[in-house]
Amino acid sequence: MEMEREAGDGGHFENSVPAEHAEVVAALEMPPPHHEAFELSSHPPHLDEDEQTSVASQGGGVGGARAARRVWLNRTNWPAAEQQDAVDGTTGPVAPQEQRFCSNYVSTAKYSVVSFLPCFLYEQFQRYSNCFFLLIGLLQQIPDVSPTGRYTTIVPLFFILFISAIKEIIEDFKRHKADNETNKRKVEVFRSPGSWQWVRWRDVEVGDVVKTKNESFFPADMVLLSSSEPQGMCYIETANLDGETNLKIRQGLAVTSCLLETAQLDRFVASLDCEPPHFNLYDFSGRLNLRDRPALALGPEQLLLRGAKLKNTNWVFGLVVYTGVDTKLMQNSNKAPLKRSTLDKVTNSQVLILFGLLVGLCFVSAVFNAIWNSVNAEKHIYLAIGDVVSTNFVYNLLTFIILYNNLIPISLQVSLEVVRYFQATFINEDQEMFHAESGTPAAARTSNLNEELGQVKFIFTDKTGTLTCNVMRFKKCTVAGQVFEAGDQLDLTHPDAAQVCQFLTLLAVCHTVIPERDKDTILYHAASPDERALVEGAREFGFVFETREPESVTVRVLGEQQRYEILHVLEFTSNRKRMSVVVRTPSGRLQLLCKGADSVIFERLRDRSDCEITLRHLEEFATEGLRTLCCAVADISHAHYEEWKHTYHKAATALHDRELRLEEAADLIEINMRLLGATAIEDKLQDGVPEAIAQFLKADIHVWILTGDKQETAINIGYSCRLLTPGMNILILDQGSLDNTRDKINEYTQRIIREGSGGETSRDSDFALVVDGKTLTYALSYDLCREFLALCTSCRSVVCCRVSPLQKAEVVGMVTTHTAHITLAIGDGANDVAMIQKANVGIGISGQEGLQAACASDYSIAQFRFLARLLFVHGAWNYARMSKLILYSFYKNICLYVIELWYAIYSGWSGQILFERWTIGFYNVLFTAAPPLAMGLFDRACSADAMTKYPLLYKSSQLGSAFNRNVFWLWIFNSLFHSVLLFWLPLLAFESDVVWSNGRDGGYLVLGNTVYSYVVMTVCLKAALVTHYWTWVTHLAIWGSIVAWFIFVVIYSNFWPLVPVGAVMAGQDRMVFSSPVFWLGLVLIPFTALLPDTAVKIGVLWTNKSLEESVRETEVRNRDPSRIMQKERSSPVHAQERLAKYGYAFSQEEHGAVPQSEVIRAYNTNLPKPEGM
Amino acid sequence: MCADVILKDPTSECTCDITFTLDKDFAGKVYMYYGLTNFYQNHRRYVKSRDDSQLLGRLNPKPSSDCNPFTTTNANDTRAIAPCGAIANSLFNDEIELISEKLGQVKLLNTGIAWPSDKKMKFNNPSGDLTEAFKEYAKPPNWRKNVYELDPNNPDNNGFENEDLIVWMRTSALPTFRKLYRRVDHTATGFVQGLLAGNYLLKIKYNYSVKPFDGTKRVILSTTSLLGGKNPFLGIAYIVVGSICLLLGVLFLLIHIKCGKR
Repeated sequence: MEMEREAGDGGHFENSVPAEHAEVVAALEMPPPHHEAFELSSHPPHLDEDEQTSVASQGGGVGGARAARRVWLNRTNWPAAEQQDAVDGTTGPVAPQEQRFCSNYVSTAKYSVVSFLPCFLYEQFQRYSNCFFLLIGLLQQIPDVSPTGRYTTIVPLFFILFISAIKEIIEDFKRHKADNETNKRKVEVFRSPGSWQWVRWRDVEVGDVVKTKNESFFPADMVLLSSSEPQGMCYIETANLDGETNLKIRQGLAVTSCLLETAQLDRFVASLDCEPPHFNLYDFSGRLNLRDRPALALGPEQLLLRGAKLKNTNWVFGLVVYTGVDTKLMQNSNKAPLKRSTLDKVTNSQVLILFGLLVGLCFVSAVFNAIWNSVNAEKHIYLAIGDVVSTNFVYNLLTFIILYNNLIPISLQVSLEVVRYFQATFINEDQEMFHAESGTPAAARTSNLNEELGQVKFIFTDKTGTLTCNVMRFKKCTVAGQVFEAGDQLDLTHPDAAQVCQFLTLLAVCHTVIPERDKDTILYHAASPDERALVEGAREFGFVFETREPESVTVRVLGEQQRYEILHVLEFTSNRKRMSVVVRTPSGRLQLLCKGADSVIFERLRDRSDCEITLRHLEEFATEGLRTLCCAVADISHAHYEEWKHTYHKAATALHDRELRLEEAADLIEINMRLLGATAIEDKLQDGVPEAIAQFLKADIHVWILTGDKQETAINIGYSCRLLTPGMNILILDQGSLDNTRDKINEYTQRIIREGSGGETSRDSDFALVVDGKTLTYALSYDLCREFLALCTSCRSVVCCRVSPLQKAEVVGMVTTHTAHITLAIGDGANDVAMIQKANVGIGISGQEGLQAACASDYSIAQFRFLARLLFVHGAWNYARMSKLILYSFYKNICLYVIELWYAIYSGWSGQILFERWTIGFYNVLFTAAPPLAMGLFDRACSADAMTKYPLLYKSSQLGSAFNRNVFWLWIFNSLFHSVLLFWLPLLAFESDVVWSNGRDGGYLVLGNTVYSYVVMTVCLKAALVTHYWTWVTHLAIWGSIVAWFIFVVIYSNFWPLVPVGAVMAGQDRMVFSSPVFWLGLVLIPFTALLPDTAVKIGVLWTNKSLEESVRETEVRNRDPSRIMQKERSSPVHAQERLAKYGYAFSQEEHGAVPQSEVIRAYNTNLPKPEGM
Repeated sequence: MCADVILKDPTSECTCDITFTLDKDFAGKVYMYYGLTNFYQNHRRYVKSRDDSQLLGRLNPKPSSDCNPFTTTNANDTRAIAPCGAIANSLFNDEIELISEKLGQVKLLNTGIAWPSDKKMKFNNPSGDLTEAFKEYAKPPNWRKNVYELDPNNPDNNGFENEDLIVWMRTSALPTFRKLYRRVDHTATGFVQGLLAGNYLLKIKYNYSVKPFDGTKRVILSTTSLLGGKNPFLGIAYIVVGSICLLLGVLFLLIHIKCGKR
């Protein structure tokens, strides 16, 4: 086997470099013209402008305008005269790099110290209400216009902004902390000139050689130089970047793979040219320039990306080429978009409508004022209102705008902020969502979406790391009609023992796993997690795979060493769905060992008669959600082998359609097999995943799986997490063209309509859709999108497999934009970031090492199962709380401030206020601030237990029944009604002006303070009426607010003249509180106002009780609510369960940097590995 | 009519006599109020047209601009007005006497009509001799007397501390309002029990013009109960709301009997 892998080897390019490099290949074969991108003969490397741009344009056409980068290694050792910039006559010490690159500091935080103020203000003033209050505050500065003084709006506004700012700072501070944690991780770096040193990640620079150890992440994008493995190979896990579970192989160039020691590194002088940074994960081109050799081409198979993890390799040396924001990981992450909850948007639009109403009201008032003035201004000489300010229409309009501005609650934003902050704290502190094993609590990274969690209709979940633990375990096998479980003892006296031994030997021999001896134990390194599980499974039964040499493997079979000569490896591809090895057994016989999907194995069996029982077992395994593989063996005669070897060799060296020809060749020998048995591997699910999914389905939430894995794997997981059930019709959409996709979509839609019409609504139909990533590109195209979405939403569940990160985001985006429903995306890796950001709510799985998803998410939880609690308890509660809080805030403000309008009728539309100006200002801050907060923090209809136990309770918040336009306006009218009663009843009671036995008369403020007291009383009692759940805080908030008002009156009435404010308030306490009419009214009037509310509430409770109310009632009475639930929908029982057909799944990289058959030839595990120092 | 006389010449004097009969005794304390209608004491421009600091006796040659246009007398005479502002300027200044047919002049008290808190906290005279203190200040244009001449007989009821002024300065909530004018002195012989039935004469020295704004003036004699003046509203309201509650109670009882046991 030709192992020299230099760029000069044309075969190598043809083998594995994508088509776009064809130009380069041509350049290699002909004497290169001067302007070619990779001019291999030129050295020392000397790029003129032309060349720089041509290298740049090689990079996928991304950075045409940006210069290619040159990275130096040991530049100081390169003769200065040969360097490009030395020509300019630059003297002095040579810098390690000629270009400057950005630092490796990575920030996910929203603000920096400098950008905080402008960014924060920009964000704040995107809210209409804040702009509005700023405007009011400015208007108040015009002299003689404001009826309420100059500072009554601007001061609360600043207060509110201040609180929001504090909240933002606290939240951003946490992000900075998380960033710091990553940025301060240490890594070992070789920096020329000199030696190894530990530096923080953020200090890693372009041109550094980084030593990354097994199981750790790469701190930057690097070019692989060498590794502990033969020929500079290494395994990386990119699940974080693209979501694929299988490991990938990267290989350093031959010239660099020998750099195993510090001294060698120190002597190695090179420069590296590569394209400017871009976001394409799978594209990279560059070249390595050496002093005394032709330059060598670098491709993606040498690139180690930040975010990927080194696996099964002790260490690698990598030359850093992209750092910080230049890394592909960061290029792929876009700034977290500012997400706002639906509730927020509805509120914003209602504020806008309310604002329109307010302007209308002001206009009407100003018109009335003008009419009044035109009739009365002359007559009422004593008013002396001849001047411009009091008669000008515009000025009066402004006056009324200021007067009525509080109809829009200024405190709402700050109440929301505070409540959200605490709700987020509740999420963070929830012990039920604390994952003890990893010590990870749930974390609300933003609090703006708390209530959105209560309205989720679609959940998009990643598979690997989210639903599964990414751990494969050998679970069971069936041999000779018997099922063995992992850990069973072998009975060697059994008549079928020989077949069992052969089966286990196959597992130990037929694979591409590399063993590594670590003292007494053997670690298996595999590109495919399935294979490793199989080899480990065989080991448990005493068939230990011990050594791999280029031509053979050694297996210890029940204590006895056996050497199998590996003649050929027929690789796994998804077309073939199987892999085989041709071996020479210790006894010298030739055998073909094969494992693969049942469908492909069974058709190649010599005798299919006695497979019934195995088939039945396979179905059993599949139903349990296990991944199955069938194992078969064939004896090969020497003659046949010799003949076949020839055919195979021709295929392997073919220049055209090599893959196809290899497949055909393999087909010739993979025949006449004998079935040995089948294996079942468990892709271990995280705890509680099926239960959580069952709950989501009960709550009428659509769950979609989006995964980068293969179709079989995805379907398999669908079964094991019970998203797919054996009775379901599985519709598979894997078409190669737009037209086919359209036809198929139409066909399936028709089928659903046809079959689903049998009584069930289409939504409940038992169809599951499985879509392939390639088909998805067609399905998501503009003209198919709607049909596709309709098909998807009429299926019970959807599984998308082989989807790229971008497609995940597209799918989520499609549902988010084309349906009015709330979407939630949950994932753990960097490949999920896009969809997490696209969904209405993004959830990251935290606790594992990759943090990208968690960092980009809105909420992070440690386990998928916590999502149920997050939605059903926190989400539903928060939604109900926020709805109540918002509605109540509008209610209470309108209730008080619309009284100003009623009063205008009596005050000649002059804009006079009935109340004292600062008491108005404090209404939102002191007397009615606490009840909505208490509501927003502690109110709940049902307990957390009930919420999780009965997912149906989620439906009411999902449908948004607590807050919509109708409910909003109902509250507004309720509030108007109250205000009418609260103004005119006291007015009538105080009509005589004399409400004391001492015969004195009060002024306007006696009436004002009386009305105000009644308003405070009424709104607080209204809060009590709508509160479902009383805590001591609720009591304190509601009763405390009323008491606070009375205390305030007593204090404020005694300010003047000591404090120069509130002259009109002086002595009000004695006047108001000494009037028996006031006290009699205090009992009667709020009671009267709330009488209809109470009556309606009781009436509804008795006649039209909602589900929550029923549950709540039984809870209050300490009864078991399950009785109520029984009459709710029961899940349909399937008369006949169809059998699952999708057991087979196998994950392995295809078309990797190095074919598996070559990887295994490179290893001789008897030889020690280099230490790398 | 006096109203027309006053309208023609605001400085002229005109007295208006009104006789009336009390059919039964007014037992207990009797208060005399004047009532105005269509008088917008609650107009925004009017309400703010005062200088509370000045009324505390802190005289300042430049009163608060809130008092405009009654801050200074006019462009030529730049003396500040005390008390300044539209409220003070429009002080009710009719003088009302009550004469009983049987007992003659009813003694009316002009003190104790304002809230003690107002008198103590909001209205103070400048220190020293009042005439001297207000020498540099002009009276409001509509006034016939200077501020230090409001009650020359009683230094505690003069200047800013005059209770008629204090009562007036407490602006009313509605354009129809009454203000306490005098208390009947029940220590005088014949008035200990209250105001006895009989014929009475109101002698009103007519100074205050309400004709321009189509207003009316009233004089109200009233006793008070614990709840103040006569106003049946609260009583009616209690009865109505109570009845509604009773009705609702019955209704809910029926509903409960019908669908309560489920």
